[in-house]
Amino acid sequence: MLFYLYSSIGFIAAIMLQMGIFSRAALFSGTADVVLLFLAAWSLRQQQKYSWVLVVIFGLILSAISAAPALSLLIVYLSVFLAATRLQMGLWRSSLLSMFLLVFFGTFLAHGVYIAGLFARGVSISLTEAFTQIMLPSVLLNMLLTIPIHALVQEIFRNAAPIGTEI
Amino acid sequence: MRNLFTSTNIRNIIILLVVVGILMLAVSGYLTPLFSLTFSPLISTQSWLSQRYLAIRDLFSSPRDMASLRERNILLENEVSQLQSQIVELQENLSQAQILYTLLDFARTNPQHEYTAATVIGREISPYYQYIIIDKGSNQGIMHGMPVVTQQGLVGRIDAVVANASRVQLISDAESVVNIHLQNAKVEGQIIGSITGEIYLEMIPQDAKIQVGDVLLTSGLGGNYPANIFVGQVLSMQSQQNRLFQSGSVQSIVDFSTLSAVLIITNFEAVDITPLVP
Repeated sequence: MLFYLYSSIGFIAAIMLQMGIFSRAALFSGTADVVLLFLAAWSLRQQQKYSWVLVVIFGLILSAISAAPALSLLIVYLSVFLAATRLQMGLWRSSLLSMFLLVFFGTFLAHGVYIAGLFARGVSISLTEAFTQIMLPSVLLNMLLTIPIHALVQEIFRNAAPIGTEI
Repeated sequence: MRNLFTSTNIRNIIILLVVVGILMLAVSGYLTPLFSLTFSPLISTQSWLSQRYLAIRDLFSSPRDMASLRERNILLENEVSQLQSQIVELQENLSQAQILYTLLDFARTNPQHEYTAATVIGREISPYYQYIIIDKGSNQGIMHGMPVVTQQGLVGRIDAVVANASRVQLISDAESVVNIHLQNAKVEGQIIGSITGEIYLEMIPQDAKIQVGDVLLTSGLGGNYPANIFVGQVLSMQSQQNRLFQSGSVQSIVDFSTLSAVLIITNFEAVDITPLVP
Protein backbone atom coordinates (compact mmCIF):
# COMPACT_ATOMS: atom_id res chain seq x y z
CA MET A 1 0.00 0.00 0.00
CA LEU A 2 2.90 2.29 0.86
CA PHE A 3 4.24 1.78 -2.65
CA TYR A 4 1.01 2.98 -4.25
CA LEU A 5 0.85 5.96 -1.89
CA TYR A 6 4.44 6.99 -2.67
CA SER A 7 3.85 6.42 -6.38
CA SER A 8 0.73 8.59 -6.43
CA ILE A 9 2.53 11.39 -4.58
CA GLY A 10 5.42 11.05 -7.02
CA PHE A 11 3.15 11.27 -10.06
CA ILE A 12 1.31 14.30 -8.67
CA ALA A 13 4.59 16.05 -7.84
CA ALA A 14 5.95 15.29 -11.33
CA ILE A 15 2.81 16.69 -13.00
CA MET A 16 2.93 19.85 -10.88
CA LEU A 17 6.64 20.37 -11.52
CA GLN A 18 6.11 19.80 -15.24
CA MET A 19 3.27 22.31 -15.56
CA GLY A 20 4.68 24.88 -13.16
CA ILE A 21 8.36 24.87 -13.98
CA PHE A 22 9.68 22.57 -16.70
CA SER A 23 7.13 23.54 -19.38
CA ARG A 24 8.27 27.16 -18.98
CA ALA A 25 11.99 26.35 -19.18
CA ALA A 26 12.31 25.86 -22.91
CA LEU A 27 15.41 25.16 -24.97
CA PHE A 28 14.53 26.60 -28.40
CA SER A 29 10.91 25.39 -28.30
CA GLY A 30 11.58 22.04 -26.65
CA THR A 31 10.93 21.24 -23.01
CA ALA A 32 11.83 18.41 -20.67
CA ASP A 33 9.10 15.90 -19.81
CA VAL A 34 9.49 15.20 -16.10
CA VAL A 35 6.37 13.03 -16.01
CA LEU A 36 7.83 10.75 -18.67
CA LEU A 37 11.15 10.63 -16.81
CA PHE A 38 9.47 9.80 -13.52
CA LEU A 39 7.33 7.16 -15.21
CA ALA A 40 10.37 5.53 -16.83
CA ALA A 41 12.36 5.44 -13.58
CA TRP A 42 9.35 4.28 -11.57
CA SER A 43 8.41 1.58 -14.11
CA LEU A 44 11.91 0.14 -13.93
CA ARG A 45 11.74 0.08 -10.14
CA GLN A 46 8.23 -1.29 -9.56
CA GLN A 47 7.41 -4.98 -9.25
CA GLN A 48 3.79 -4.73 -8.19
CA LYS A 49 0.96 -6.56 -9.85
CA TYR A 50 -1.38 -3.60 -10.27
CA SER A 51 1.08 -0.83 -11.10
CA TRP A 52 -0.46 -0.47 -14.54
CA VAL A 53 -3.63 0.83 -12.85
CA LEU A 54 -1.71 3.87 -11.61
CA VAL A 55 -0.36 4.48 -15.12
CA VAL A 56 -3.89 4.35 -16.53
CA ILE A 57 -5.27 6.68 -13.83
CA PHE A 58 -2.54 9.31 -14.22
CA GLY A 59 -2.53 8.90 -18.01
CA LEU A 60 -6.24 9.71 -18.04
CA ILE A 61 -5.76 12.68 -15.70
CA LEU A 62 -2.99 14.08 -17.91
CA SER A 63 -5.05 13.48 -21.05
CA ALA A 64 -7.80 15.58 -19.46
CA ILE A 65 -5.43 18.38 -18.47
CA SER A 66 -3.48 18.49 -21.72
CA ALA A 67 -4.59 20.05 -24.98
CA ALA A 68 -3.08 17.09 -26.83
CA PRO A 69 -5.57 14.74 -28.53
CA ALA A 70 -7.63 12.62 -26.14
CA LEU A 71 -5.86 9.51 -24.80
CA SER A 72 -2.62 10.29 -26.68
CA LEU A 73 -0.70 10.76 -23.43
CA LEU A 74 -2.25 7.59 -22.01
CA ILE A 75 -1.04 5.65 -25.05
CA VAL A 76 2.48 7.06 -24.69
CA TYR A 77 2.73 6.38 -20.97
CA LEU A 78 1.31 2.86 -21.22
CA SER A 79 3.79 2.10 -24.02
CA VAL A 80 6.70 3.32 -21.89
CA PHE A 81 5.43 1.29 -18.93
CA LEU A 82 5.11 -1.88 -21.01
CA ALA A 83 8.57 -1.35 -22.51
CA ALA A 84 9.96 -0.91 -18.99
CA THR A 85 8.42 -4.17 -17.79
CA ARG A 86 10.02 -5.95 -20.77
CA LEU A 87 13.40 -4.36 -20.00
CA GLN A 88 13.08 -5.40 -16.36
CA MET A 89 13.09 -9.02 -17.50
CA GLY A 90 16.81 -8.80 -18.01
CA LEU A 91 17.90 -7.15 -21.22
CA TRP A 92 20.47 -5.16 -19.26
CA ARG A 93 21.58 -5.53 -15.68
CA SER A 94 21.97 -1.78 -15.23
CA SER A 95 18.65 -0.06 -14.77
CA LEU A 96 20.31 3.26 -15.70
CA LEU A 97 21.04 2.01 -19.22
CA SER A 98 17.45 0.82 -19.51
CA MET A 99 16.32 4.22 -18.28
CA PHE A 100 18.36 6.00 -20.98
CA LEU A 101 16.90 3.68 -23.61
CA LEU A 102 13.35 4.24 -22.35
CA VAL A 103 13.70 8.01 -22.17
CA PHE A 104 15.30 8.27 -25.59
CA PHE A 105 12.69 6.22 -27.44
CA GLY A 106 9.86 7.36 -25.15
CA THR A 107 10.52 10.99 -26.04
CA PHE A 108 10.48 10.23 -29.76
CA LEU A 109 7.29 8.23 -29.31
CA ALA A 110 5.59 11.05 -27.38
CA HIS A 111 6.59 13.64 -29.97
CA GLY A 112 5.50 11.34 -32.78
CA VAL A 113 2.08 11.04 -31.15
CA TYR A 114 1.84 14.82 -30.68
CA ILE A 115 2.72 15.44 -34.33
CA ALA A 116 0.27 12.75 -35.50
CA GLY A 117 -2.40 14.43 -33.36
CA LEU A 118 -1.72 17.79 -35.02
CA PHE A 119 -1.90 16.23 -38.49
CA ALA A 120 -5.15 14.51 -37.52
CA ARG A 121 -6.62 17.88 -36.58
CA GLY A 122 -5.63 19.32 -39.94
CA VAL A 123 -2.84 21.57 -38.70
CA SER A 124 -0.08 22.01 -41.25
CA ILE A 125 3.33 21.89 -39.59
CA SER A 126 6.89 21.77 -40.82
CA LEU A 127 8.45 18.44 -39.84
CA THR A 128 11.95 19.88 -40.12
CA GLU A 129 11.02 22.68 -37.75
CA ALA A 130 9.37 20.19 -35.37
CA PHE A 131 12.50 18.02 -35.42
CA THR A 132 15.12 20.73 -35.00
CA GLN A 133 13.26 23.23 -32.82
CA ILE A 134 11.25 20.94 -30.53
CA MET A 135 12.12 17.26 -30.74
CA LEU A 136 15.92 17.35 -30.53
CA PRO A 137 16.06 19.99 -27.74
CA SER A 138 13.46 17.99 -25.80
CA VAL A 139 15.46 14.76 -26.19
CA LEU A 140 18.59 16.58 -25.00
CA LEU A 141 16.84 18.02 -21.94
CA ASN A 142 15.30 14.66 -21.08
CA MET A 143 18.66 12.89 -21.39
CA LEU A 144 20.27 15.50 -19.15
CA LEU A 145 17.63 14.94 -16.47
CA THR A 146 17.71 11.15 -16.72
CA ILE A 147 20.45 10.50 -14.17
CA PRO A 148 19.18 12.83 -11.39
CA ILE A 149 15.59 11.63 -11.70
CA HIS A 150 16.64 7.98 -11.87
CA ALA A 151 18.74 8.41 -8.73
CA LEU A 152 15.93 10.27 -6.94
CA VAL A 153 13.27 7.70 -7.76
CA GLN A 154 15.55 4.79 -6.85
CA GLU A 155 16.31 6.42 -3.51
CA ILE A 156 12.67 7.18 -2.71
CA PHE A 157 11.41 3.71 -3.56
CA ARG A 158 14.32 1.89 -1.93
CA ASN A 159 12.54 2.28 1.41
CA ALA A 160 8.97 2.32 0.15
CA ALA A 161 9.16 -0.88 -1.85
CA PRO A 162 12.35 -2.94 -1.65
CA ILE A 163 12.87 -5.00 -4.80
CA GLY A 164 11.58 -8.53 -4.40
CA THR A 165 8.75 -7.71 -2.02
CA GLU A 166 5.17 -8.06 -3.11
CA ILE A 167 2.95 -5.60 -1.26
CA MET B 1 53.93 98.14 55.97
CA ARG B 2 55.87 96.52 58.68
CA ASN B 3 53.61 93.46 58.61
CA LEU B 4 53.91 93.12 54.79
CA PHE B 5 57.62 92.28 54.83
CA THR B 6 57.62 89.73 57.53
CA SER B 7 59.66 86.61 56.84
CA THR B 8 56.51 84.54 56.41
CA ASN B 9 55.06 86.82 53.79
CA ILE B 10 58.35 87.01 51.91
CA ARG B 11 58.50 83.22 51.86
CA ASN B 12 54.93 82.96 50.57
CA ILE B 13 55.60 85.53 47.86
CA ILE B 14 58.71 83.63 46.76
CA ILE B 15 56.77 80.37 46.66
CA LEU B 16 54.03 82.07 44.66
CA LEU B 17 56.53 83.50 42.20
CA VAL B 18 58.22 80.07 41.84
CA VAL B 19 54.86 78.39 41.18
CA VAL B 20 53.85 81.08 38.67
CA GLY B 21 57.26 80.76 37.03
CA ILE B 22 56.95 77.00 36.74
CA LEU B 23 53.44 77.37 35.31
CA MET B 24 54.69 79.93 32.77
CA LEU B 25 57.50 77.58 31.76
CA ALA B 26 55.08 74.67 31.48
CA VAL B 27 52.60 76.66 29.40
CA SER B 28 55.33 77.90 27.11
CA GLY B 29 56.57 74.32 26.59
CA TYR B 30 60.00 74.58 28.14
CA LEU B 31 59.26 71.83 30.64
CA THR B 32 58.00 69.23 28.11
CA PRO B 33 61.24 67.19 27.99
CA LEU B 34 61.30 67.19 31.77
CA PHE B 35 57.66 66.02 31.93
CA SER B 36 58.31 63.36 29.33
CA LEU B 37 61.30 62.10 31.19
CA THR B 38 59.34 62.02 34.42
CA PHE B 39 55.99 60.68 33.24
CA SER B 40 57.03 58.17 30.56
CA PRO B 41 58.07 55.44 32.99
CA LEU B 42 54.95 56.07 35.01
CA ILE B 43 52.71 55.87 31.95
CA SER B 44 54.45 52.74 30.72
CA THR B 45 54.09 51.12 34.08
CA GLN B 46 50.45 52.13 34.31
CA SER B 47 49.80 50.80 30.80
CA TRP B 48 51.51 47.49 31.52
CA LEU B 49 49.57 47.13 34.74
CA SER B 50 46.28 47.91 33.05
CA GLN B 51 46.90 45.46 30.20
CA ARG B 52 47.80 42.67 32.57
CA TYR B 53 44.67 43.37 34.59
CA LEU B 54 42.45 43.32 31.50
CA ALA B 55 44.11 40.12 30.27
CA ILE B 56 43.53 38.41 33.58
CA ARG B 57 39.93 39.67 33.71
CA ASP B 58 39.31 38.40 30.14
CA LEU B 59 40.79 35.05 31.05
CA PHE B 60 38.12 34.57 33.66
CA SER B 61 35.19 36.31 31.97
CA SER B 62 35.69 35.44 28.24
CA PRO B 63 34.02 32.00 28.23
CA ARG B 64 30.85 33.60 29.53
CA ASP B 65 31.16 36.47 27.04
CA MET B 66 31.85 34.09 24.13
CA ALA B 67 28.79 32.07 24.96
CA SER B 68 26.61 35.16 25.16
CA LEU B 69 28.16 36.54 21.96
CA ARG B 70 27.53 33.30 20.11
CA GLU B 71 23.97 33.30 21.37
CA ARG B 72 23.55 36.89 20.28
CA ASN B 73 25.13 36.08 16.91
CA ILE B 74 22.68 33.24 16.31
CA LEU B 75 19.78 35.50 17.24
CA LEU B 76 21.00 38.20 14.86
CA GLU B 77 21.60 35.70 12.07
CA ASN B 78 18.05 34.40 12.52
CA GLU B 79 16.75 37.94 12.44
CA VAL B 80 18.74 38.68 9.27
CA SER B 81 17.44 35.58 7.51
CA GLN B 82 13.87 36.42 8.55
CA LEU B 83 14.30 39.96 7.25
CA GLN B 84 15.77 38.65 4.00
CA SER B 85 12.82 36.31 3.46
CA GLN B 86 10.48 39.20 4.26
CA ILE B 87 12.29 41.34 1.68
CA VAL B 88 11.91 38.60 -0.96
CA GLU B 89 8.23 38.19 -0.08
CA LEU B 90 7.65 41.95 -0.24
CA GLN B 91 9.46 42.18 -3.57
CA GLU B 92 7.23 39.40 -4.94
CA ASN B 93 4.14 41.17 -3.61
CA LEU B 94 5.35 44.42 -5.11
CA SER B 95 5.87 42.91 -8.55
CA GLN B 96 2.47 41.18 -8.34
CA ALA B 97 0.86 44.46 -7.25
CA GLN B 98 2.53 46.31 -10.13
CA ILE B 99 1.13 43.77 -12.61
CA LEU B 100 -2.34 44.06 -11.05
CA TYR B 101 -2.19 47.88 -11.08
CA THR B 102 -1.28 47.78 -14.77
CA LEU B 103 -4.15 45.40 -15.48
CA LEU B 104 -6.46 47.65 -13.46
CA ASP B 105 -5.34 50.64 -15.52
CA PHE B 106 -6.11 48.68 -18.68
CA ALA B 107 -9.56 47.74 -17.36
CA ARG B 108 -10.27 51.39 -16.50
CA THR B 109 -9.21 52.63 -19.91
CA ASN B 110 -11.40 50.00 -21.62
CA PRO B 111 -14.64 50.28 -19.65
CA GLN B 112 -16.78 48.71 -22.39
CA HIS B 113 -15.75 45.24 -21.13
CA GLU B 114 -16.11 43.48 -17.80
CA TYR B 115 -12.98 41.73 -16.59
CA THR B 116 -11.93 39.01 -14.19
CA ALA B 117 -8.26 38.89 -13.24
CA ALA B 118 -6.54 35.52 -13.08
CA THR B 119 -3.08 34.22 -12.27
CA VAL B 120 -1.21 31.92 -14.61
CA ILE B 121 -0.50 28.71 -12.69
CA GLY B 122 0.94 26.47 -15.38
CA ARG B 123 1.68 25.72 -18.99
CA GLU B 124 0.70 22.92 -21.33
CA ILE B 125 2.70 19.70 -20.90
CA SER B 126 3.29 19.15 -24.62
CA PRO B 127 5.70 21.64 -26.25
CA TYR B 128 3.68 21.45 -29.50
CA TYR B 129 0.67 23.18 -28.00
CA GLN B 130 0.68 26.77 -26.76
CA TYR B 131 -1.69 26.78 -23.82
CA ILE B 132 -1.61 28.17 -20.30
CA ILE B 133 -3.56 27.19 -17.18
CA ILE B 134 -5.17 29.95 -15.06
CA ASP B 135 -6.62 29.85 -11.57
CA LYS B 136 -10.19 30.94 -12.41
CA GLY B 137 -12.92 28.58 -13.58
CA SER B 138 -16.66 28.10 -13.80
CA ASN B 139 -17.07 28.96 -10.11
CA GLN B 140 -15.88 32.47 -10.96
CA GLY B 141 -18.15 32.73 -14.02
CA ILE B 142 -15.57 31.79 -16.63
CA MET B 143 -16.98 30.12 -19.75
CA HIS B 144 -15.60 28.50 -22.87
CA GLY B 145 -14.68 30.96 -25.60
CA MET B 146 -14.16 34.05 -23.42
CA PRO B 147 -11.28 36.24 -24.70
CA VAL B 148 -8.19 36.64 -22.55
CA VAL B 149 -6.09 39.82 -22.64
CA THR B 150 -3.39 41.67 -20.76
CA GLN B 151 -2.69 45.39 -20.61
CA GLN B 152 -0.46 44.86 -23.66
CA GLY B 153 -2.95 43.11 -25.91
CA LEU B 154 -4.66 39.89 -26.90
CA VAL B 155 -3.51 36.67 -25.25
CA GLY B 156 -6.02 34.05 -26.44
CA ARG B 157 -9.33 32.50 -25.47
CA ILE B 158 -10.68 30.09 -22.90
CA ASP B 159 -10.50 26.58 -24.30
CA ALA B 160 -11.57 24.36 -21.39
CA VAL B 161 -13.05 25.11 -17.98
CA VAL B 162 -13.27 23.24 -14.68
CA ALA B 163 -14.55 24.49 -11.32
CA ASN B 164 -11.53 26.54 -10.26
CA ALA B 165 -9.20 26.54 -13.26
CA SER B 166 -9.27 27.04 -17.00
CA ARG B 167 -7.10 26.27 -19.99
CA VAL B 168 -6.35 29.17 -22.33
CA GLN B 169 -5.40 28.68 -25.97
CA LEU B 170 -2.80 31.33 -26.83
CA ILE B 171 -2.93 33.15 -30.16
CA SER B 172 0.51 31.64 -30.84
CA ASP B 173 -0.92 28.09 -30.83
CA ALA B 174 -0.77 26.22 -34.14
CA GLU B 175 -4.55 25.73 -34.15
CA SER B 176 -5.37 29.35 -33.34
CA VAL B 177 -6.74 31.62 -36.05
CA VAL B 178 -7.62 35.27 -35.28
CA ASN B 179 -9.26 37.64 -37.74
CA ILE B 180 -7.47 40.97 -37.70
CA HIS B 181 -7.40 44.27 -39.50
CA LEU B 182 -4.38 46.40 -40.20
CA GLN B 183 -5.04 49.89 -38.94
CA ASN B 184 -2.85 51.79 -41.42
CA ALA B 185 -3.47 49.77 -44.58
CA LYS B 186 -7.16 49.34 -43.75
CA VAL B 187 -7.19 45.70 -44.88
CA GLU B 188 -8.33 42.55 -43.15
CA GLY B 189 -6.46 39.30 -42.71
CA GLN B 190 -5.75 36.48 -40.31
CA ILE B 191 -3.01 35.60 -37.88
CA ILE B 192 -2.12 31.95 -37.39
CA GLY B 193 0.07 30.46 -34.68
CA SER B 194 2.66 27.73 -35.06
CA ILE B 195 4.14 24.83 -33.10
CA THR B 196 7.15 26.97 -32.14
CA GLY B 197 4.99 29.85 -30.92
CA GLU B 198 5.68 32.20 -33.80
CA ILE B 199 2.73 34.10 -35.28
CA TYR B 200 2.18 34.46 -39.02
CA LEU B 201 0.08 36.92 -40.96
CA GLU B 202 -2.01 35.40 -43.76
CA MET B 203 -4.78 36.24 -46.23
CA ILE B 204 -3.52 39.76 -46.97
CA PRO B 205 -4.51 40.87 -50.50
CA GLN B 206 -1.63 41.28 -52.94
CA ASP B 207 -2.43 44.93 -53.62
CA ALA B 208 -2.34 45.94 -49.95
CA LYS B 209 0.57 48.17 -48.96
CA ILE B 210 1.82 46.79 -45.65
CA GLN B 211 4.72 48.37 -43.81
CA VAL B 212 6.89 46.79 -41.15
CA GLY B 213 5.63 48.02 -37.79
CA ASP B 214 1.98 48.36 -38.87
CA VAL B 215 -0.38 47.72 -35.99
CA LEU B 216 -2.75 44.73 -35.96
CA LEU B 217 -6.11 44.86 -34.15
CA THR B 218 -8.80 42.22 -33.87
CA SER B 219 -11.51 42.75 -36.48
CA GLY B 220 -14.29 40.98 -34.61
CA LEU B 221 -15.14 38.86 -37.65
CA GLY B 222 -16.05 35.29 -36.88
CA GLY B 223 -17.40 36.24 -33.47
CA ASN B 224 -14.54 34.73 -31.48
CA TYR B 225 -12.98 37.97 -30.25
CA PRO B 226 -14.26 41.50 -29.65
CA ALA B 227 -13.12 44.08 -32.20
CA ASN B 228 -10.22 46.50 -31.76
CA ILE B 229 -8.06 44.62 -29.28
CA PHE B 230 -4.36 45.18 -29.89
CA VAL B 231 -2.65 42.05 -31.24
CA GLY B 232 0.84 43.02 -32.37
CA GLN B 233 2.92 44.59 -35.11
CA VAL B 234 4.03 43.42 -38.54
CA LEU B 235 7.58 42.11 -38.34
CA SER B 236 8.15 41.25 -42.00
CA MET B 237 6.16 40.68 -45.19
CA GLN B 238 6.60 38.30 -48.12
CA SER B 239 4.86 38.83 -51.43
CA GLN B 240 5.08 36.33 -54.30
CA GLN B 241 3.51 37.05 -57.66
CA ASN B 242 2.20 33.52 -58.14
CA ARG B 243 0.23 33.54 -54.89
CA LEU B 244 -3.17 34.97 -54.19
CA PHE B 245 -2.26 36.53 -50.86
CA GLN B 246 0.69 38.12 -49.12
CA SER B 247 2.01 36.58 -45.94
CA GLY B 248 4.26 37.79 -43.18
CA SER B 249 5.27 37.38 -39.59
CA VAL B 250 3.91 39.19 -36.56
CA GLN B 251 5.57 40.32 -33.36
CA SER B 252 3.16 40.02 -30.48
CA ILE B 253 3.65 42.64 -27.78
CA VAL B 254 2.65 40.11 -25.13
CA ASP B 255 5.56 37.95 -23.98
CA PHE B 256 3.83 34.59 -23.63
CA SER B 257 6.78 32.95 -21.90
CA THR B 258 6.63 35.30 -18.92
CA LEU B 259 2.88 35.72 -18.52
CA SER B 260 1.94 35.80 -14.85
CA ALA B 261 -1.48 37.47 -14.74
CA VAL B 262 -4.23 37.97 -17.31
CA LEU B 263 -7.68 39.50 -17.65
CA ILE B 264 -10.66 37.52 -18.92
CA ILE B 265 -13.37 39.50 -20.72
CA THR B 266 -16.48 38.07 -19.09
CA ASN B 267 -19.19 40.03 -20.89
CA PHE B 268 -18.26 38.76 -24.33
CA GLU B 269 -20.06 35.72 -25.67
CA ALA B 270 -18.27 33.94 -28.49
CA VAL B 271 -20.44 33.07 -31.49
CA ASP B 272 -20.25 29.49 -32.66
CA ILE B 273 -20.51 29.59 -36.45
CA THR B 274 -19.69 25.91 -36.92
CA PRO B 275 -23.26 24.99 -38.03
CA LEU B 276 -22.99 27.65 -40.77
CA VAL B 277 -19.76 26.27 -42.18
CA PRO B 278 -20.62 24.20 -45.29
